[in-house]
Amino acid sequence: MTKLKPILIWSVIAIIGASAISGIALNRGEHINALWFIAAALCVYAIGFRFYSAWIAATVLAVDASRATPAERLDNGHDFTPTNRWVVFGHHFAAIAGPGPLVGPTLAAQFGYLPGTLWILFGSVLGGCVQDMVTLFFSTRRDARSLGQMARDELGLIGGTAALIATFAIMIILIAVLGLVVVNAMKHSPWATFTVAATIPIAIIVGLYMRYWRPGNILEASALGVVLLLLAVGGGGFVDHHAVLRVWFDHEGLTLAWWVMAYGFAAAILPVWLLLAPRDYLSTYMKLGTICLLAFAIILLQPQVKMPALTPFIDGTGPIFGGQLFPFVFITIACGAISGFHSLVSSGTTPKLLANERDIAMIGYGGMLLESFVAMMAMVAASVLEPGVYFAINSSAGIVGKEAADAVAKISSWGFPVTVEQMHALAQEMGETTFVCQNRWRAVLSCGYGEYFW
Amino acid sequence: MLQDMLGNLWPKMAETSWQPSALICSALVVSGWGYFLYIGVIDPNGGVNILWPLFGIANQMLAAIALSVATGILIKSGKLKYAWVTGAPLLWLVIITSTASWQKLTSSDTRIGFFAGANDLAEKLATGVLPPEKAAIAPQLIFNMHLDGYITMIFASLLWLIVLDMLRISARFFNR
Repeated sequence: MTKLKPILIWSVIAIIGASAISGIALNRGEHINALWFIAAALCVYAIGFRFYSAWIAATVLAVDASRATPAERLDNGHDFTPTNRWVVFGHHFAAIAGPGPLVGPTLAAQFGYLPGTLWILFGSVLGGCVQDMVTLFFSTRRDARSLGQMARDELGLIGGTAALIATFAIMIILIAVLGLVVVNAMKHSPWATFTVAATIPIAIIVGLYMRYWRPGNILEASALGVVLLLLAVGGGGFVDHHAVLRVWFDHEGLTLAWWVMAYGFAAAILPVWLLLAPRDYLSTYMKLGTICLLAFAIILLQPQVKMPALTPFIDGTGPIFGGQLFPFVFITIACGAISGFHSLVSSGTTPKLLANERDIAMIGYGGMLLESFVAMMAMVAASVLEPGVYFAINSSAGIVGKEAADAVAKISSWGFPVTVEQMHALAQEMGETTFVCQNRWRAVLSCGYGEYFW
Repeated sequence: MLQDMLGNLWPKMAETSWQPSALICSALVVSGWGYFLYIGVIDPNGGVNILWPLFGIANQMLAAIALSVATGILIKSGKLKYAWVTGAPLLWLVIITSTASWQKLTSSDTRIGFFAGANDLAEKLATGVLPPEKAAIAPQLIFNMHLDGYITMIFASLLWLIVLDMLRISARFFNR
């Protein structure tokens, strides 16, 4: 009898999940409530975590809770330190969650909501989470060695060397593209630029505070950091409306790119505790806060999804990027479903902090589930826009034409009606409310990248 | 990370506390990603549109590398019957990254193929239909598209090398 209750609960979760997914997949014509997306995601994640990750941990990997981890055996109080599992989870999540899960789904929504949604759900549960988790496990069993080094040790000379070179070269490209997203977010946006610039002195203050002024007082230091961060976000709004200050933070992309490079070099040669560690720490709060806010917003507002399940652009003529549904939906949505970048984190800092092998499923599998959830919300955010408006915002000017009237005519001809008035109204709104959100969003988005630039 | 890698060739480079090595490696790494950041920023179309597919392909290939290492380890430790847990996503990633790279390299659609895009732009430049401000940066863009194409090619070949090597090593264990 004691076993009956969990069986019942999980059956209910499975039924809700299955009906939410079939509702999303089979719905045609009508608008559906965005809440279904959240329900489908949560049920799939819960089942994946409870059953698949537990099975992988117990049977495939044979996780051993009594085995000493590298953090315990090689504890040096510096980079190897056994750490509370929630803190490790926070670190891990902050490091894997970049701009990727937000940009990808937004672009891929040109195919309609369905392909992206299914790929985010099943790609993460069966692929991405598994990758993060097994990499974390194997690295933990090998003294927290990096992926490239593991490949070198486990594969042959040719494959191993190829893996080392590829890992490094790919990392260079990934950092560059992430940097590009940051630069684009700050371009001619004094608000975003100010907030991002402000995080650097804030991180240094927090770093000094934890090291010299009140060592060990993590709670105080984080409270101080969070308050200063919120002030910086608010201050960005002030700067944005200030005639003189505005000019100081309003820059061309190229200028910002040079600054980002200078920052990257400085961050790499300064001591980690001064800039990188506190910045990484603060950005965790920012990211978790944003995610909670977004989730609450969707639950409270319950917006209708207006994007069709599939658009005609699956044939490769999409206005946002060229290419057919297969394989480009799977390439475009990388970070929200499966992301190689995470394997660098899972074989980098995380195994050096892990206190018990038992927590591998929670940190590796669970961390990726949370990121997948972020991608899901980005997908919802793109799909609740009127499709015409979505295409008007995101299409490249070369396809739809530079003049508003041309663009509107072209987009409407695809069967996604949008009017010039709508765009003007939107631009107006953008100037007031949406713009505020967008700026804040950009600022938050940009805050988390410090840790990638080394 | 570069320090780690160079340490395979020259052990002293791997000492993170050795200042010259740290400085040189940081400078090398920053100029590496800085260059791509630079070409992305000067791209008049925003850069993300061209670089995002490269980002996606590179990211998925890295995932494939991680999964092949994991699959290799599973097979080597005698867990062949569970190898599908990482092997199935690996297979899927190899299929999609190979297809995507193939299309990015050979497609004649100027919006998909890197080389087709470069040729198209070169032709427009030669016939003088581009407005002057676009013509000024066109040579750089053409070079970038070629570069992106070659990078995709190198990544795809490296991935296949790794996967094949993993299969070769696994086969040895399988036969035993």
